[in-house]
Amino acid sequence: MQLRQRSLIGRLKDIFVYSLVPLGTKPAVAPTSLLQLVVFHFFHVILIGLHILVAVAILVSRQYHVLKNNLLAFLYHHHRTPQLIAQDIQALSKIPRDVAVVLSYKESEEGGGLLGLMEQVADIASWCIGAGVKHLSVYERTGQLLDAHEATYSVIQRTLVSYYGSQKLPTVRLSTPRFRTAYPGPLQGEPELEISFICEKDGRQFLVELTQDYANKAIRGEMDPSEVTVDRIGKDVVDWIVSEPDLVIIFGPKLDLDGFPPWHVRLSEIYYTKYNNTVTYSVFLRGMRQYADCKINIGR
Amino acid sequence: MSIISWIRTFPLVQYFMVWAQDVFVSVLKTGPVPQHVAFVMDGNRRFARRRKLEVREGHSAGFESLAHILEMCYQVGIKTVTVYAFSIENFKRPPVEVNALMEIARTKLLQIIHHGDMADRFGISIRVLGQRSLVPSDVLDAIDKSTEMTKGNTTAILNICFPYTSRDDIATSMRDIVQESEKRNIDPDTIDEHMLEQHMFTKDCPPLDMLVRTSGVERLSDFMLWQSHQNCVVEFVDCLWPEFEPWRFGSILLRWGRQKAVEYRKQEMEQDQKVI
Repeated sequence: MQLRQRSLIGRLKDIFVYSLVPLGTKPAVAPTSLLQLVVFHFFHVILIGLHILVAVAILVSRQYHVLKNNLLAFLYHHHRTPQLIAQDIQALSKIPRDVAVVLSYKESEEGGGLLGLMEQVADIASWCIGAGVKHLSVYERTGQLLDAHEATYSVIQRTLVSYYGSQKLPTVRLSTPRFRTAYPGPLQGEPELEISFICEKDGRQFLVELTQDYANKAIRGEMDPSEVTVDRIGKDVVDWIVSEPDLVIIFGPKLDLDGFPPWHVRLSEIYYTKYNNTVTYSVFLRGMRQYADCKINIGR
Repeated sequence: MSIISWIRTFPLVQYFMVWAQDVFVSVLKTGPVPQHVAFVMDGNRRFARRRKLEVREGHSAGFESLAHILEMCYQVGIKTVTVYAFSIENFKRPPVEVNALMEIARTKLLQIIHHGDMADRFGISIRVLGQRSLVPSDVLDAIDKSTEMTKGNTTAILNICFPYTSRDDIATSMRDIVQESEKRNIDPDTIDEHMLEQHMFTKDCPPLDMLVRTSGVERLSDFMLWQSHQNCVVEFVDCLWPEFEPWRFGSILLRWGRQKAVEYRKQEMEQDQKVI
């Protein structure tokens, strides 16, 4: 009888303490006794209420931001005319030399897939040329575009024609630092825009590979460990991947670098638009504006 | 703002605020809470300039604000807090200010261990991350004393980055590994992300969940680059650090908690479906 009772209490405790604390909440402090459980649920109900309030607030703010984004996209449209872009850019006090964009590959969606990604790159490239940006790094986590230079190039050419006409077509060169490939091969003089494609592996993975390389050199006696300094690594990172971007524009709904190479974002201005999920000119322009207004003072 | 500060002068309002904050903390505790939060305490000097104070006083106000935020963090149950106190680049500032910052660091560290209230109340072990070779010897003494005295505390960790940059952190980790490989203790083929992490200053800490930067500047400024570039919520808050109140931080925690709760619930539902 006593045994049954105890097991009943045990079972009750199981039900109350473990089943009634919803697994999904993952509380910081889990209750262990009945009193604590009651107190826990008293406060947890308030928390659920607050979460609902937050959800409502997010809903309202999402509607507001979507409306704002659409309105701005309507007001600031490039109309595929470089003069309009130049006009927008002229008002800015400074322009980044080196811009990076974070894109994401979307399957089975309108404007998604590989072609959608290429079209996005082509649009961004056209705006960059209009704004006088010299180097564009395209980051996409899974690296879909790394070995699709030829197809991307033809999409970019087509888009550039629609912006600049076929008479004075700007020159563009694509490269993938990871594979050491470039397209089209040798050019006469500097291209107006250099586009580099990078992926998740150029981040942490590259630093790991670099360490392995240094370690092997150290074992062969070609390098002293004391040579591994911030300057040396910085030089190798720039040589092998891309230079530090001045501005990183995230074309996603939230502030998530999504694995963008950590070494590179030291002093980069990071721009994103809340609840935005499209690659539009107004987002690009607002990023440029934020960069123009920011003041960089290293350590001061 | 003036209305709020006027209301605050009412009798019992202060008492009520403290009580409300305690309740809020108890409520937050019943949901998911980040394990590791990092702060860039930006805006002390602008705060001083706006209020026509000396730079030193601005930094002191920043320390007061830090104490309030830390109290909230540990009450809620955050295990590790990392603060960016001084960057290696900050040595470029005028010597008067650098000296003042060093003096603040020394006295506050000693103050923390002498009173021992916060460190002992929450069981915080203090760690100072960064290039020790750049710190003057009297400050180094204070650092060693405070880390030594709080070594036994195991509930929570306070990482003070002083003087720190993330690139220096990564480079130091890489240098250590190369050194070990040269001595044939590590096979270069076994080097991976985890090993690099294990040689960084933050080796014993849980992964970073949230990074908060105040004063509206939208850059990382060489802080926790490796730790924050994926699976981490980065918040840029548009207010100066001395004005960053526990309430404001609480609302960030609430939003984070809701997002996590939704994720966990989704996971749970997926698991249930698999069982069926």
